[in-house]
Amino acid sequence: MYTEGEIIKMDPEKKRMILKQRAALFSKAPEKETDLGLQIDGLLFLLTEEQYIIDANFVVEVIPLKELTPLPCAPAFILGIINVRGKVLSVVNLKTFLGLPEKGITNLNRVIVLKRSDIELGILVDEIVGKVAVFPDQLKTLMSTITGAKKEYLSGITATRALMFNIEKFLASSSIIVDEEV
Amino acid sequence: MNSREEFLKKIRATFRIEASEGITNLTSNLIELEKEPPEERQTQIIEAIYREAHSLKGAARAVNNTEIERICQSLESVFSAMKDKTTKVVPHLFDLFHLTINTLTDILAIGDTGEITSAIRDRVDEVSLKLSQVEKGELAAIEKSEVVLPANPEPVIVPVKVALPEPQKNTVKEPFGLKQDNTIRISIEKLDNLLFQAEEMLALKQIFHHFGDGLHLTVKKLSIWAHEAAEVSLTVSDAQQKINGKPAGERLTPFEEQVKKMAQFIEWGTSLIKTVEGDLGKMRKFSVQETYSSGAKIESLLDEVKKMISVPFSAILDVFPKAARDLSKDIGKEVVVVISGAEMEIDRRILEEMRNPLMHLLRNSVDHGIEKPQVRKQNNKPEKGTIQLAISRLENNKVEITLTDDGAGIDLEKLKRKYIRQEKIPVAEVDQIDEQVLVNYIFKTGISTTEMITDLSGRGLGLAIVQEKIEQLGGSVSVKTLQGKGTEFKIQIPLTLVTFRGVRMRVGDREFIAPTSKIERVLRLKKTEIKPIENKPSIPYQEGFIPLVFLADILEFPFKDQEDDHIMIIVFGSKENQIGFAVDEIMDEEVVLVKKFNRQLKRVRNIAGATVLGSGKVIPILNVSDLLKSAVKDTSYRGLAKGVEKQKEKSAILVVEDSITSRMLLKNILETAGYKVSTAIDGVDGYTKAKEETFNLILSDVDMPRMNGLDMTAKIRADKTVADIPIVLVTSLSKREDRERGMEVGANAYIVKSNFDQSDLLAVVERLI
Repeated sequence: MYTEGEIIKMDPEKKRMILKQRAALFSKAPEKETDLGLQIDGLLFLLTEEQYIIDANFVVEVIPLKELTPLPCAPAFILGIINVRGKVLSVVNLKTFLGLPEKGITNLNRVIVLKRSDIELGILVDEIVGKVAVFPDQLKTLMSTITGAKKEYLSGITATRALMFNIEKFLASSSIIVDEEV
Repeated sequence: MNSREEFLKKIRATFRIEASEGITNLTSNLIELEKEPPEERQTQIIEAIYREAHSLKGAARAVNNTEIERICQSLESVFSAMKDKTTKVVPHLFDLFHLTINTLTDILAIGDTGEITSAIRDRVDEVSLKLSQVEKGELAAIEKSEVVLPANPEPVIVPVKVALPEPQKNTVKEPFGLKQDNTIRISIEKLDNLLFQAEEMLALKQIFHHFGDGLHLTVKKLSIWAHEAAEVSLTVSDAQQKINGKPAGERLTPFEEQVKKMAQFIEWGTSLIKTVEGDLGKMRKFSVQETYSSGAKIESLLDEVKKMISVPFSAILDVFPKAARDLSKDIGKEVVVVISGAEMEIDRRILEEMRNPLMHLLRNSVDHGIEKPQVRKQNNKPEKGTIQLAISRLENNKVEITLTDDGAGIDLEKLKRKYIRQEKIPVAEVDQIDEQVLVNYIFKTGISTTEMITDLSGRGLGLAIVQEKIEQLGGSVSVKTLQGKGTEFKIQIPLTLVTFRGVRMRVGDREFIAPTSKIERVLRLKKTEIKPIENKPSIPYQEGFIPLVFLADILEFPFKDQEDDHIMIIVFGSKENQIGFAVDEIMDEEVVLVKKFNRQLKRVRNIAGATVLGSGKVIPILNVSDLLKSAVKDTSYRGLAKGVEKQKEKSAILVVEDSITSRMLLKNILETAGYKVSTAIDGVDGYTKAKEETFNLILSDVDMPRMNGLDMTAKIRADKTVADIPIVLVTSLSKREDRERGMEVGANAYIVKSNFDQSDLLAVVERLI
């Protein structure tokens, strides 16, 4: 990236070269229809230092976390509640939910708002990397040492070692519902 | 999912909405027709049913739902025949019609993914066959008992001949072109979003208010200045006169020059501040006016939006006659439901919440209220029981729902026996209890006068839940009964979601709100007045003693006693069941709007919901009846000596971190270890706080907006007053250069987040303090 000043000062030859490079980048033929099978849009994010992907179809929006109110008497995986344009949403700590070791402090500061039928909630992540294409058929199976909630909700691992998190199953699961009486 | 699949999914979803509306319309029309209205109205209803069946048929065909299509086809033919008066409307046909509707509903409930079972297919065959027989007048003579057997297709008459699809003898008049309707469809979600945002405007109103108050304070400060300035101004003009009074030609001394300059500056300053004061005054006046006028605009906007999300009661009541009919048939009773006032509109969110309670009361009436036909006959009552549901508008923005049945009434003798058993009172005393008190006892959990638990409502929990739900909505419910004559439930609920007055309190750094109406009293007591009774803390209250619990214990979060000789206590509960809850501070009373939790938080112990303050901050609302229950169960016992003795001076640590979760985590770890912790959100904030207060150590993140941790460290080191404070940097950067850079600017330690460990952090902190 160049600043405006730099561009003005740049000599025309160099400018042309940059533009040409960019044109080449854009004009790249679309990737051939491969036999990778079904393709879905995924959202790639970081949790501690691991990469996770979820089906972007269930993502409503991503918002920065400004204020979080802890909710007493709720299970540990409920980090708290937030105000999203007047709506009160619960925020889930995936690390606790999945039983990942609580090692390291993270910079959890993005909330991914998810929705499936009438369940709407947020999950807290460290960093959003971006949208990626996922080929579910190409996912590798997880190591057999993985057990418990991780085994239940992680559906595979990509070639780039991102973990595919089955967000639809998660949102449909009754184990995320808090329904407790005194 | 490919786009075609997606499209199909969408149109099936649309169909389901359309179909369920269609079925609702069919049902209510059938119910009305069954009541044998005047001939003229009958014709209208038949026409309406015919049209509804026709359009449902078309819609079903569009999504390939052959079962629904077939049934609607047959239904359409029957009503077409009725229109043409070739078939008559006879009462016993209605069982078949309702069976038809039930079948439609069941098919619809299967959804996209489910399989159409052969049982369903058999029912479709049966229903269509019978309908076509009706159309031909063949079934008109059949006894109704033969028609009712739904689940078992065997005894069905041998299919004579399968009805052919009816010839296209009727051309249906479809409305062409644009309908002259003044209504449009908007998804509920969009309306809800609109409402949420309109509600947010209330916060804006409060912000305006605070802003106005701020301006007022500023103006006040200036008036203090004016007072002081008046005293100085005499001295100033005195000095000026002396200087100006010097004989012409005599030069001013350098000191006099200085005084003259200062006097001029003070004069200029005074007039400037006067202008600013005037400007501020105007601004304040303007802001007060605007606060009022925009406040009024916001209120009216919110009112309009609330009207938009209002729906008539009929939206949920339309299914009641049908439900009552089905329920009563199942248990061999006959019931008619008469509804009045269903056109009354109410906030959809409230109506949604009322659906289950009302349905429960209806079931309750069908199940326990209305007697079996033979019993009714013996008692000189019509065989058919009547349940009346009347909706009427009350003053003060409330509606009253009255549900009356002409059944047997509540069995007081049974209720008495329950009362004796559950409340453990002597048998002799039960007769002294006021009858109304006894009747209201049915709302207590665990009570149902039906000895036998039936599928419907005899589970006892029901009425307690009904009452809880209604009270949550800010309403009330009462019951009256007359032996042998019937029972009447009266419900009053607000038309729109209510704001309520709540008291805001603080425990540690958490805030909560409790409805003012549930608070008995707020007390401030000396800690020495807390005395153990039966090994539980208690406090003197009114004439006696009541137990004391700590709100933080009940809400299950750690907190520390305040270093104060006094303690703030809120008393909840009534009469014998009063309990004191200790908090750190009672803040203020506010008018708050209850925000329901999202679906994930279906029910949270001790917390009823949340509200959003003017600042946007979310505050949990306490569920007082839960708290009282929890307090009784609470077994934790706090030592009492603790509060009286002052705790020793603790080391103070400043945590500088922009991420709120990390900030909370660090704060928690350090506080648990016994440190006094303050927080700052970035370098600038951190530097300011470091100078304002005294800290024994600063723990800071590196990557932060405005000023990063390295720059802040450098700045603190360069400032003599704070240069000696040990600084620990915590960061995700783990490169060697970064660490070196950290040491260069003067940090004492460097902790890398990815291999962060609580005990490491505490060890480092302890070593440095």
